[in-house]
Amino acid sequence: MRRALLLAASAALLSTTPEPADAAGRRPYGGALTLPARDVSGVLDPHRASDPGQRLQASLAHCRLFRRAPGGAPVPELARDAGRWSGRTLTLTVRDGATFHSGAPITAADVARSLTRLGQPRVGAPLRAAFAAMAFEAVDPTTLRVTAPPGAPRDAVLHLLSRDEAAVLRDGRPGAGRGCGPYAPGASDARGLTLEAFAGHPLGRPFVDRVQLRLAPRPTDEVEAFVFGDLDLSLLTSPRYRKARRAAAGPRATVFAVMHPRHRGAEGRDLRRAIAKLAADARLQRHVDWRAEPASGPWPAALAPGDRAMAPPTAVPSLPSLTVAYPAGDAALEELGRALRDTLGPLAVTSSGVRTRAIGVPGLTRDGAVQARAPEWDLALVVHPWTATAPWEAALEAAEAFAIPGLTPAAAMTTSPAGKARDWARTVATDALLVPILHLALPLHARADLGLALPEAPTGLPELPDAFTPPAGR
Amino acid sequence: MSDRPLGSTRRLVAALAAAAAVASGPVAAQPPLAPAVLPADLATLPFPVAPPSSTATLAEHLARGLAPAALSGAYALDVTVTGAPGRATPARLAAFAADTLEAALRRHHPDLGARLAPDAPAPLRVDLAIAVDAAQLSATLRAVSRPATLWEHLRAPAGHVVATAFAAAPIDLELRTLLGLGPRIARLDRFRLVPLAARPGDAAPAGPVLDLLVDDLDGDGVPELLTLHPTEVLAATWAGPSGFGPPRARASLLHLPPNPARVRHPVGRLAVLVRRDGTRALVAASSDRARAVALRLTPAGLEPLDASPAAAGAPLPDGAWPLYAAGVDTLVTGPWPAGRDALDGPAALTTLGGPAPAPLARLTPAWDLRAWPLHGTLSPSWTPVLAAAHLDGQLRLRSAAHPDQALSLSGHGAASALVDLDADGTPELLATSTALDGPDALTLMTLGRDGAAPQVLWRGRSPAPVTAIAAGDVDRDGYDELVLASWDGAAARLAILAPVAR
Repeated sequence: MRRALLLAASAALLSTTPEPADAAGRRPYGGALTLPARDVSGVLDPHRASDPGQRLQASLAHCRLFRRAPGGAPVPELARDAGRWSGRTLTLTVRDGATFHSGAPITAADVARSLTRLGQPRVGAPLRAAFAAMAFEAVDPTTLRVTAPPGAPRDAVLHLLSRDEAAVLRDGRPGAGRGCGPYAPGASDARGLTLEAFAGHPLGRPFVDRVQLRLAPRPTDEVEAFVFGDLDLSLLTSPRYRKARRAAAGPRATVFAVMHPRHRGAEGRDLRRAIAKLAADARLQRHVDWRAEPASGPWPAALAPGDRAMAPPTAVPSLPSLTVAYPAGDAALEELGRALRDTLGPLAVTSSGVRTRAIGVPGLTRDGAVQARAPEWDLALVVHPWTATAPWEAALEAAEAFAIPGLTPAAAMTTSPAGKARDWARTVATDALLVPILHLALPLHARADLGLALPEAPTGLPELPDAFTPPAGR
Repeated sequence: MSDRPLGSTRRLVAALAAAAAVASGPVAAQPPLAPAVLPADLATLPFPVAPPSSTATLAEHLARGLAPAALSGAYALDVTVTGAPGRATPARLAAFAADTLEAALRRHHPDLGARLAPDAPAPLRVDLAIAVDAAQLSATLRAVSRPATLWEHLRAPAGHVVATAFAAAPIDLELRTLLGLGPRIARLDRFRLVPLAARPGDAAPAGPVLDLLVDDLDGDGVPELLTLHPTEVLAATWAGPSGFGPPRARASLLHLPPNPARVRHPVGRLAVLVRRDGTRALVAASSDRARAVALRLTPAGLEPLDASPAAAGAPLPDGAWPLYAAGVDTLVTGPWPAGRDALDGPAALTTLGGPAPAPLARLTPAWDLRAWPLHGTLSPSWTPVLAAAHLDGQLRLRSAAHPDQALSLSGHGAASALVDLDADGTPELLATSTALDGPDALTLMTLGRDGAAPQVLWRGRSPAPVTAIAAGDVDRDGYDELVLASWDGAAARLAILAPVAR
């Protein structure tokens, strides 16, 4: 009988290793990851997360209604499905059985309160105005009704709900046990905070058991820790460590020169255009360590809501002096600031010679530059990491980050990339007190012997809840 | 090569061969074999018991069909067989069918008297007409009450019909043996993996296909394709070259309590149970929920087996994750996935709605453990195979034919299927690959016979990761096909793998 012969020969080990395998097996669980943290504010209050590190923390410790697939499309996380869209109302059902880290069930009321808080001015969320333009109402314990601004499409609403900072908190307030992310905060000490895998996450327990947030308040702390192998990943642009490997392109960012308000008007417009042209001609990307390209407009190509090119100056202005400010202690921006100073020499010529200078300003931030808190400079170099993944979102983000008036959330969500948002984008390129210098792809450094597969999120940050340790030999 | 006409699957395969993305690979011999160790759990887990044969199923359905009319007294049974091929031995089938039917009739009609010769003057005459066609047997049963009095003789000399029943069943190996048809010879030299078109008008269920089964769940002679999604079970039937039709039934799992510790990539399990009354039930478990549900397929749809509020359609005890059916109303179960999707914990023998599960061996940590129903060819031998995809990357098999031995294969993924595509008694194994992302490399091999090393029959590639594989005769051509479900992160798709010609 042939069957009898079949497995008579089958007390055997047969190796039938397939072709170079690039298919889907099941992912093993286990392992740990250590990340740098300037602070743990992204864990404590995700609604305020604005820089890449905080956003990464928010995505670890907090859940939201939707997350973003690698291609950028929102996919349900706490929401059971994509919901029902009618008119300008999106009705969503909260996934049953979902709980906060404390074990308390997540209700639609928690979601409504959380998203309402994002729109409150005192919170200072990155897209505050967009959330303020929407209304969130719990119809029953599991049903949430989202009312969008008139004309806003469903995709734009889902996009906003999938942002890292759109976290759901118990009662809409931050606090211990009030999160519902894939990792729950555990032990903390002076060195940092441990996040433990949370099996109650709506999408299931993450593969990596533990994420350690190691405090590195200063960039030099992070560089040192990374060089000595105490960190698995580094978001800093500085580490020049030859054994590091780049795990992902990292988030997009743009270096802006924020002009002092005294340079408003027609003369200031020519000055900004002249600076942009000189900067573009000078190939300043030579002065940064990471992938960069000259910025012809305020937005990177994939995020531009309209015409992004700045026009050439009608006349080259002449100034008695020009001061370039950069954040003191930031080596990368210092080098770039000095290079920009040398590049702008033709703009500031007096009988006594060139009067341009570059100065380090302690505590110089984007918000500080926009509010012109240090009047002794003419332009301040700041880096703006983009959180947007769509042009309309980038338009709103720029409007809020640099306090540029004239764009309402409804207009951005409704008409981009054409119409009002496009006109507004053209105005920004012409009149805003902003000179885009370089568009960057911030690097994400990974330890060379890091045995983790790191899927990449559309924001350029790693999708750590989906990271896993491939089995040996794969 | 079979002398039977081309089945619809083969016509589909032939028609779409040019468009198929995957070409046949070369047949390759494998390296010499070395001894393998049988893991403790595989060595002791029970094999499934043999399912009822087609003859027994046919007789059961006929007897149950007559049941409303209570038969009593002595009866004469006459069996006729028509349509059998020239070389067949219909008399042998007729005799066996008569005995099987008598046993079934006595279960459902306890007042039935002695069975008399076909031409005996019994007060009750039972006529069984069996028609043999390409791939199935259909049977008609007539119960005729003969005239007992002069007046009845004058009024109705031929008697009057008191009950009828009709049933059909596929021609299985037992029937082939009874008919003397012998084994079929089919070719496994060229294969095609044919993607099936999306079903028009079908509301896409959420999430990937966690498990697949091909089974005639409602006993109507038409096998259903049963697909399990994280929160839904669907049943569809083959609709010709276009693939499967829209779901004829669907059952939501959302009424079951949610799993408080979901796994990141949901897993699921479908198992078909044979009930004490001969009907079939589907047990479905999704790692998104905390309990399994048992369903039956009726004309009204997929319904909970026990709809009472207490049972809530989930007669399995909490924490019992179905692995495979081991007997009537009995399942081998493992631990319910909680946060992790590997099977790691004690197995148990669990009876549907029965007492506490009986503990079995502790499972060696595995991604998957299944029992594949297989028959030999020359007789209706039942030699199921247990297959475990262990975490160390080994796919280990244990056959009922040689329960103290194991076959171990390396380099394959969690999804696999054993099937006898050419019905020659030697199973073929379709295995996925072990890599973790991107397209899935598929390997089809015959597991070897006459002491020869297994041979790779075909290598192919699925554009998206394969999440589940089922084997069954979806198009009712008498041969099994393989149905594959894949998931690209956004949509679940089905494909069918079959030889180009058999």
